[in-house]
Amino acid sequence: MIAYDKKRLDNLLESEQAKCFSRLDLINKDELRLIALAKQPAYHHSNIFIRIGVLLLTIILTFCSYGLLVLFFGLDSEWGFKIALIIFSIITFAALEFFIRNKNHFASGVDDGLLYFAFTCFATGVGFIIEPDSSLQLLTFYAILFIVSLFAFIRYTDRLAAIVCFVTFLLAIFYLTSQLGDISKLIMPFVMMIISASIYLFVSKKKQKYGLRFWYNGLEVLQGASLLSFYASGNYYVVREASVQFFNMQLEPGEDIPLSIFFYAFTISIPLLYVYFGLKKKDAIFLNCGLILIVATIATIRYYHSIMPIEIALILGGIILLSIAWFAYRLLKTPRNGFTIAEDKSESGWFSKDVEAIIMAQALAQQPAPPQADNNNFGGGKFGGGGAGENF
Amino acid sequence: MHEKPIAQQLFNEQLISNESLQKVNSFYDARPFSLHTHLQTFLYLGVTLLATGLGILIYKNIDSIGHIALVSIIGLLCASCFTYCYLKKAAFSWQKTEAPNAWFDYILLLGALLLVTFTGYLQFEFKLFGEQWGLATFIPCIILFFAAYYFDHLGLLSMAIVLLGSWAGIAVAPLDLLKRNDFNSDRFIFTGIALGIFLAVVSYLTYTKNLKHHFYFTYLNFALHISFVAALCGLFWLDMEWLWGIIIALLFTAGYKYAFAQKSFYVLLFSMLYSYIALSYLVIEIGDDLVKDISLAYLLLIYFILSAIMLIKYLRQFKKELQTL
Repeated sequence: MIAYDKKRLDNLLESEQAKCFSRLDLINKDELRLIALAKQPAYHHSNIFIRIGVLLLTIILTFCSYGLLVLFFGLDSEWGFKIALIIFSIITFAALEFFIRNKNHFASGVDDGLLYFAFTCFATGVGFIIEPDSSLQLLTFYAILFIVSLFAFIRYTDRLAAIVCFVTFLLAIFYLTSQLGDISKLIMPFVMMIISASIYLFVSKKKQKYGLRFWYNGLEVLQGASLLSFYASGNYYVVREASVQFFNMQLEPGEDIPLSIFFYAFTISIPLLYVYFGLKKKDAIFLNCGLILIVATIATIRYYHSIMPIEIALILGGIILLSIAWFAYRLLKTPRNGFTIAEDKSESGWFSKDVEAIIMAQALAQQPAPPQADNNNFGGGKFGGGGAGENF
Repeated sequence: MHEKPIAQQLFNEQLISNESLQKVNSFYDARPFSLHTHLQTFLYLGVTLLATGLGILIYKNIDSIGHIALVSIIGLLCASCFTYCYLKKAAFSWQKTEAPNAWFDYILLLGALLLVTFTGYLQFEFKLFGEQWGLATFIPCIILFFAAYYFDHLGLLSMAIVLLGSWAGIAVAPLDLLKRNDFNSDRFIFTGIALGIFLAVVSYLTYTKNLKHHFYFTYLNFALHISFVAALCGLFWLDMEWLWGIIIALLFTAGYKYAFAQKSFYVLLFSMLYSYIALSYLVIEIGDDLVKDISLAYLLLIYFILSAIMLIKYLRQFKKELQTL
């Protein structure tokens, strides 16, 4: 089922976990050394920057190779090109298998690059062949993509494949439901909610299984994605715009979608419920999704009802955030109820002070500038029209 | 995560002692839920929203009666932020000093953001620095540099560098560098090169003289991107392509040497990508001059294929060499 060598994956997983145990002083140095010796041969994690570089180059390489083939064989018929895309996809998948099996690539950039390229080729090829237009064709298109990306997720445990698989599944369900005719417009939000909730429950259960440990990260991503899509299914903006876009609903000014009260209540309550659950169950995914969605809810409401001017909203938002932080710090000076404000040392700290500094530089650049009309003062002579002059 | 089953597995294989296994189990049973990152994000966002909101507020209320009061409030708020930090700070040292509490860094950040808004506004409304518009950027820039060293704050340092850039006339904030500049102007290109070299020298001195040693990467990071982007623009839009080619080759050599000495994959990746863009541009330009028919397309595709293969090999080789070092 899985393309990678299970023994090597296990060895990697166990030695990485041992490093984490050692960082937390749960095991001693001798044990760590013993584990490092015993857990061979193992895959190793590629440095993230090397991985990105190799991934980009792999995509350039594959793309140009096929470009050369197209040029060489003088492919100019429409069907030739469509078939060629599918053939390229198959060749790329074969190359992927070769590199995994014979060259022991794991998350090296080469395998990611080949997988993404193969899938993109396939999706484009199928798209050109079907040329989806009616909702039945779209259903077929997304159903095919779903099956292939599910296969890719299971076989290569890739997180991006998991997301593509999830999105194509939702789209397929969307077009399947829209086959039902008029009734679909009414039940669509609820169908999507039920599907999202079911996926969440299914994935959460699978995540606990030790037997599925190689898919842990992918399943975790799916948990977050299904929580977000559950909210989106009933979000007022999404429902309203989708009704107009896909179901040709005509909304006169002053008119509202059916059940608008329900969707408003849903939009407002779900993020708060997520945060509540997240804190109660100590579930970081629920908490993070809830916090992100609060922003989405504020944006939704502001889109239709401008309650206060932007600067007041910003100041108020800032004060609320700072107050929450202040209360939390006072409350949790000593850890209580299983919460702490101390850093979690078991997470590897990639988010260093250096990264923070870069973000703060951007914060400065976002600061408001004097009104546009007077900007000429900067342009003339001194700043020579340098772009940054606009800032200050 | 599957920490406990993995520990059990390791115990079964007699790689860890029973005592360690118990330690792991009791740690993960009692592990508290950390809100550290969440609260840091809240503080950061809260401060940024507040400063941005206040900044918009004063410009919107320029003609209203209350605006003097508003400006005074902002000035007072800014002053109290700096006063708080002055009272709380650890004794100055050229080494890294720890922030006295979780709030310190963010209060300082708020003070700095307000300072920039405040001086910008004073200049805009009252011509504080007369017609010397450059000073209105340069003075806060100097204050921020000073505060960054005095209070040991990396965020202030990078903000000061952004101000230095805008004083010199270019936008160097991470997201602005590639979109808010006049890329084909001599001014951007030569200022960029000069600023890049200047920052690289400062970074080198910071590192070797051990003056706030941990600041060196921030300087270097700006130097890397500013100088490469400026040099690439020089290559694309100015004459004497061979000269720009040599400059980029020199930059690449410097970046490569640094990456090798410091085991920095980040610097390696970006030096390589920028240089690869330059090389490919030159190859396309030269090819376009020499070959006038369809075979150019073949040659270019072959160039990309071969160069990509070589670079992949080279990157992976580089990684192996560094890991065995």
